[in-house]
Amino acid sequence: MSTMPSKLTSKRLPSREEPFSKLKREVEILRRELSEALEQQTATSEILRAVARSPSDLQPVLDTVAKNAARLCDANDAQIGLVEGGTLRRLASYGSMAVPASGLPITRGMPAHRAIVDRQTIHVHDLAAELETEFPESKERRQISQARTVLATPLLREGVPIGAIVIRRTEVRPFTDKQIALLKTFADQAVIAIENARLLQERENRNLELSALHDVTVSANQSLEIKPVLQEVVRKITEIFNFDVVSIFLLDTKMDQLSRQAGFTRLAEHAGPRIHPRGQGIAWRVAETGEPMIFENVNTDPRYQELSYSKAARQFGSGFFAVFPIKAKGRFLGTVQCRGREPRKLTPDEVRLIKSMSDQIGVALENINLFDEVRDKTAELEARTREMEVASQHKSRFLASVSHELRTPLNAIIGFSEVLLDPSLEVSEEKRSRFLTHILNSGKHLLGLINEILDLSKVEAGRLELEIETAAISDVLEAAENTLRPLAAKKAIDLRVESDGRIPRIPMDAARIRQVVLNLIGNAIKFTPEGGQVWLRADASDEVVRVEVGDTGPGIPVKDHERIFLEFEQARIGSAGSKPEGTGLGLALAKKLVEMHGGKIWVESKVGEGSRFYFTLPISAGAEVKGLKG
Amino acid sequence: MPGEKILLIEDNAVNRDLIQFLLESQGYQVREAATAEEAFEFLKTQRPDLIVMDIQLPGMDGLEATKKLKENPATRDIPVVAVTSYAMKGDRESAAAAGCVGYITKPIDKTTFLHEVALYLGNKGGA
Repeated sequence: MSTMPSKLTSKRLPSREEPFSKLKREVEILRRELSEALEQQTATSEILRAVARSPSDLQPVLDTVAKNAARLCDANDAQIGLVEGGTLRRLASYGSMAVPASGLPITRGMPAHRAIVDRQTIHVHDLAAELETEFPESKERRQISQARTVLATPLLREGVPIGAIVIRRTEVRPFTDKQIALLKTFADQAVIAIENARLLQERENRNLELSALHDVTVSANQSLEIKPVLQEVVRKITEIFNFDVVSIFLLDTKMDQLSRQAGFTRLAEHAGPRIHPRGQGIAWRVAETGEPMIFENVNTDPRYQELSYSKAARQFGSGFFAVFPIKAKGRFLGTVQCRGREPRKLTPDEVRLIKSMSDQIGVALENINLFDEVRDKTAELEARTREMEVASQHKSRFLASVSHELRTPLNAIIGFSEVLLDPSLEVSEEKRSRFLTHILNSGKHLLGLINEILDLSKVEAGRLELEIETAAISDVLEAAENTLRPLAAKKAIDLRVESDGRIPRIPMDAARIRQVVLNLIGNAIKFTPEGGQVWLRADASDEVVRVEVGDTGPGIPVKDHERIFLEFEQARIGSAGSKPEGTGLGLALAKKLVEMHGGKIWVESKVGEGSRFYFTLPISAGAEVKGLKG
Repeated sequence: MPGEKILLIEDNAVNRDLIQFLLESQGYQVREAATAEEAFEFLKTQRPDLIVMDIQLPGMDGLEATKKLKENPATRDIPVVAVTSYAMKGDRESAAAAGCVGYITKPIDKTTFLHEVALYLGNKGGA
């Protein structure tokens, strides 16, 4: 048990921290990149103060860039466009030369397009002159804008064109080298602004994700109830990734299936499968491989058609489907399943994050299992401790009782021996004889006590072996009656045996059963006043043989009916209170012996109405007999 | 000091026989009681010089009986010598707490027992 805490610690810490700290490191890198970029910007020009004021919103930044480019380069207008889906989409413009976006594919037939294709600045001195030969695609637009001199510079991010900035004049007046250089600077700044905005957006998303992951971690550690944690996780995953349905299935080893433990859906009609029987479907493939399976479009993915086993699942799977494994220490625990009504893609970052959250679930489950394990062990330990305390108390009481019971006859033996051996004491012949009888009886009592203590100890240690043979209960009763007839006769007690001749012979340890019967008859004779009756009866049902030992003694109060079968718990009879001679172990031993035979023993009695002790023995003892040898 | 009256409270007849013999051999007058209840009945009309009290008695036990004796001004001064076959730790302390002046464990050592009885009878005389 002492190893428990260290086992816990070593199991928990590394696996919980790992995915989380990895993401933390990435965010740290992004943050550093960002702050470097921000430093560059604020150093170059006032444009970038706009960036600093609203770093994540691209529009005001690009508007500022366009405005400053037009003004500083003395142009009539400025436009900034970004490459999107093979065309150039205008994001910002400044000036009076309103022109609709071309929407044309990017070729070399337009100055801005050519700047992108050639990845260099294009300076057109007079667009009108070169319209036919060089820039035919600008014809239409030029009719509206009346542009003459045009300067276009690509927006290059790490050498890759992502857009263009264009400044124009309505007159033929070529831009100076300084103005050209300035526009390049503005282009660079636009790129940085765009990149900043992208990074910031990414960081904000990541922060959101991180905080979601943190929430999950916290709830996994705080709440060790499994369902709320899982429900929280599916809700978060649905929220962050904008899925329609997210479910968690966990391995149910008892049923040998995956059972849905948590689900979050945005679709009213969705029910989906509750279980995946072993080996069936995509979830079990993921269980085998330990790798996620992602179907960007289930309708076109042949793997989905092959693996998806249920018609319902196929019918529902109308768009996106992904299954991620939940593992702890390499052991498969279950799956996280994400569905979308529409086909979609997952970025590597998104895949990594869902994987990381699945890992987190694994850790949470492991924690819960460990917690349960520890809790169960603790409860078990407490129960054992209580049992041991009870056993120990019982043992102390037993020892105290044994000590007491042994000392009482020893007191008589030693005391009277001393008296008889002391020459200074005068002992009459009558007393001498009585004292010797006391010594003899006490010695016998002591012997009986020791034998019973030994028998009881053997029973309790499971070392008393019954020697089972088929025997007739009537023989046992008669033998006992013969033994005790003289004792009964002394008190003029009428001792009778009534036995049904049809009682079957049954398997038993006849010597031990005789011991039980002798004890019961002995008690009956002891407690029954002179001239009373003691009887023995036996009968049989289909299952058991029942023996009754009855007497016309004082009876036993109902409250003592169970207690008298405990060690050293003799019933105190009557107000005279003279304690009957007995070891206080006889009934306890009788009970154990009967129970070892698979039978029961009890008493029916009321004060003043005599007592009837019963015990049963199973007719087909066989399997029921406990402690049987061989 | 022959003739001093001793009340012997002991439920076991054999032990009663032994203790009675031992006390009578010293010339004491012995009255017997098998239970505490019987003893209190006796004490209503008689006053012994000393009580020998078995601790394990049916019904009211010896400790309880001693406490009761010590609460009653009429019996408070009678010295009580406990005789017990309990020999577990703490038994002597609980006997003393109940008000027993002497404590004898079974098996009784004749000499020790009689010495104790004589001692407390003597003390009582001097008090």
